[in-house]
Amino acid sequence: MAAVLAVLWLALPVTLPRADVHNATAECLSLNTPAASPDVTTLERCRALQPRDTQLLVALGDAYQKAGDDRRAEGAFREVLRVDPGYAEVRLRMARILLAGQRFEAAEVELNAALRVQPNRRELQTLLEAVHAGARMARR
Amino acid sequence: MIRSKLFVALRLGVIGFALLTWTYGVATFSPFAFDMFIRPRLMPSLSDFVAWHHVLYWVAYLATVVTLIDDLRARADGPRPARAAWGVAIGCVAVLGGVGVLLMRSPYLPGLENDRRSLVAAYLALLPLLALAVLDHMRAWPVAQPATAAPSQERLLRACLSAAGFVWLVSLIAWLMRKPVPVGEMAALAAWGWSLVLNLTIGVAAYVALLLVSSFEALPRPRPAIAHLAGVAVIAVGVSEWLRRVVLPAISLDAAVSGPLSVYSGVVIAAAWSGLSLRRAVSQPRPRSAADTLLWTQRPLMATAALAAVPFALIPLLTTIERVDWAYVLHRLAIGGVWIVAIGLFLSVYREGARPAWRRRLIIAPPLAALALAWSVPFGLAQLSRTLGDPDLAPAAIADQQAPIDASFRVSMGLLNRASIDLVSFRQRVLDRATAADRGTAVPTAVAATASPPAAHRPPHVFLFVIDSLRRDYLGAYNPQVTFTPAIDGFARESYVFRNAFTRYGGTWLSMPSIWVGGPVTRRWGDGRFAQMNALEQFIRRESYRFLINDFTVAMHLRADTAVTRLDPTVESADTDLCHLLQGLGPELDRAAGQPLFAFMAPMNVHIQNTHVRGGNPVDPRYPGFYAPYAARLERLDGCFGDFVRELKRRQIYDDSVIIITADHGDSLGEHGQWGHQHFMFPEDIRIPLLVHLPGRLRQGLTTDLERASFSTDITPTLYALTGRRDFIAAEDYGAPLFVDADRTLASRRDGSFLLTSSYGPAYALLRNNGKEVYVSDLINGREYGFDLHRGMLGTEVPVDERMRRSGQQAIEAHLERVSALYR
Repeated sequence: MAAVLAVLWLALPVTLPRADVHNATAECLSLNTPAASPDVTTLERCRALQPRDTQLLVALGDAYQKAGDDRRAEGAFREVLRVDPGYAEVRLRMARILLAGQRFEAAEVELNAALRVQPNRRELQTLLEAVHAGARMARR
Repeated sequence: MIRSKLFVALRLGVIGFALLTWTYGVATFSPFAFDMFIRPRLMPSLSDFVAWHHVLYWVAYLATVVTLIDDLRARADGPRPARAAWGVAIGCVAVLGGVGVLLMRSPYLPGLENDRRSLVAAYLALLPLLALAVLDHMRAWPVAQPATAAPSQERLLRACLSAAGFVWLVSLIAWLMRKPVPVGEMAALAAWGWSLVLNLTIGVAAYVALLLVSSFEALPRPRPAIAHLAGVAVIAVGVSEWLRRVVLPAISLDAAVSGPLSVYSGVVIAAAWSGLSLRRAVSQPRPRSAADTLLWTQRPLMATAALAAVPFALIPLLTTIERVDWAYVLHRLAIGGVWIVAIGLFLSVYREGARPAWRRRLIIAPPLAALALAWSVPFGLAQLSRTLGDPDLAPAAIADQQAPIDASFRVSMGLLNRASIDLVSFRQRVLDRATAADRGTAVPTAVAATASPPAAHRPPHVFLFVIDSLRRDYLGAYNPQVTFTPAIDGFARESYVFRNAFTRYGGTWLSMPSIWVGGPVTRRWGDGRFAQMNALEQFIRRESYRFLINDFTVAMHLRADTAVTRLDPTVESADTDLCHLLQGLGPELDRAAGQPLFAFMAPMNVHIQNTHVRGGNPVDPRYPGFYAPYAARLERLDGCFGDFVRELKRRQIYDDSVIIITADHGDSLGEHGQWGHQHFMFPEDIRIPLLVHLPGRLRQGLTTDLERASFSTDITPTLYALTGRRDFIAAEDYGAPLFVDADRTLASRRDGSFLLTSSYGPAYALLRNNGKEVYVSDLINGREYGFDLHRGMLGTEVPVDERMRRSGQQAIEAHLERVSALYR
């Protein structure tokens, strides 16, 4: 009788089906701490585990830029904006990359989108003026 | 000799009196329950009980004495057991009488406060029951002859399964009698089918418990005394577990207190029930089994009549309970009581036939069958949901929809869906920290003691509308589907619309003061320290505003020397109406030229009390896809606000005013099967609108971030910053200004996490990723949820994976520890 009760108590509880356990390594969990300064390889590994983590993607984009790979940086930042279109700071970074690549129209789109989120911000307005100036120069 | 029925009735009255005293003691000891229910005298009948307790004690005392008459008449020179019982009876009469005299001289209950004395009172309240239980056992044990044979397994099984079906059927009838919100037929069928399976599972569990008790009577040499004690032990464990897992966590009592209290209370209540059952058994005509004695079986005809009467009593009771219940505690108590009564009544109906020897297969087969069914149903539903592509059939969705409408389903799920050991220990740590914060005596504040020099310009007028329970997805400024708020939408086009705003607390009781403080508060915020923490009141005084207010939370805690005009002071809280408040504002605007105005209004037009309880037709073609009573009231409110804005423009005050529309919290309007905002931390409860209009002269040099996570606690620091004051000192966990100079940027809120807390129980939401990832830990129901708020008005529910759980729980503990440290 005691055995039956024990089985019931241990086995009967109905738990709702749980999500598959998604085991992130401790390394990826700690990436958001100020002390963390991960390299590109680590960030890419963690990105596979947390594909929608925008802070991870921003860090990855910055790491690519630091390594001189603007193309991959732009890809990471675009991924951020697909997840979170309101991330004005990333639009600013995108705009800098686009301006450096003389893609003025695309840069203007990003800066205008950023100004809708951060109205009146001088840094965005200054860069927008630089984009307009660059576009004028390019047309001449 | 006192008649049995009279004896039982009087003793039940005495037990009821003791339990009510216990309840008051426990509620007064809990900081949460004391602040929420006791201090505001939310239940007039309980307040009357407390006020008259010393008199009612004598009524209970006299009832006790009447039940002891036969014991007192026992001869002093009679047999030893009778003499001993006589001694105990005399002792009870004397001691309890003495206590009564002391209470008349100095009533104890009205003087209880939120301290240890209340807990002591709760313990003492049950001592008379313990004494009476001892006496009952001394008197009735030798006389109540036990059965000579154990009850048959078939009878026990039939009774338990019948009770399960009966409780399920009553729940179904109760649901059909209401006007249910339409759900898919398939989902409803699946839900009620699952409910039946769960009820049958509980029935089998009850059968196994009865088998355990009766097994001592089925031995070759029956042990009826041990059978009775086993039954008492089962009752004691059941009551203790119910208190420890259901009742006491609902009032945020920490484990160090709730554990011993539950065990003690469970033992005393079980002993009292046992004693009363034995006394009753004495008057029964023939020997009875332990199960029959403890479950009060009776004549079949009476039992059948009682069964027929149960639905007529239960359904109105559940309807009444719904209005006053807290975290479904009373619901669970009512259903638990019906379960026990139903098993006893069905045991009475099914008479004992031939009693075959106990068979092993009737011990093993029913639990195995129940186990198999209970496991297979949710997995089957999950499979069906995937196959048909119908998310409403997923077990979690069915559980969320069914639990609020089916009390027996909720009780069954609560009993069977045990939280993992991790969650239990997490809950204990959280409750300990929350209680430590509540009991802290420090007075944290983010406001500098010395006021900074005022800005050269005149401060703007401030109109701060904190509309109770206003949801952002019911405003056109946030949701293009909304067509019934044109005035607020027009105002939004001239304002800053913060698209990612949250309340820090899920209910008015803590949310309102946190807005005024500009930071975290505890449940003891109103105990006399608030003036020192009230940053907004200090701002109003430092800027010499003419101050107008309508509010029922903070207004009574303002400083006595703060000059304030109360708007609509005689209107009851639930009836406060923005339209009427704005009419009252009119004469004050006439004097706006002389002194800047600060008006704070917290109307309740769209509070759940008005939209759901007072109700209306939930569906209206004018508001497709919206809950019509809420939309209709909001539409009216919007019209009045539009008139107000036009009036401000006409008086040329509009462009000299800071106007803020926000909410103290959102509301659940049937999502997840929930209504209101008791302890819910779903997206619809925690997301709020935040619309800020600034005067032109302030807009020019400022920038902001409309997508950055913002909080209701940012409002007060923003007002300080807008007037050029540096008095509000930035601190972790406090709010921060929403605007900065245009050549700067706001500090990022994307890296960290933010804790949102229910005002009314241990339920938490942890925001990460700029508020786009939400982990909800509902420690009242032992549930957790995950939400992705990147898309949609209410986001998308996502499975809680190990990363989210681990990081969420760690962050919740860390936040609570920081708040606790602030108040130590």
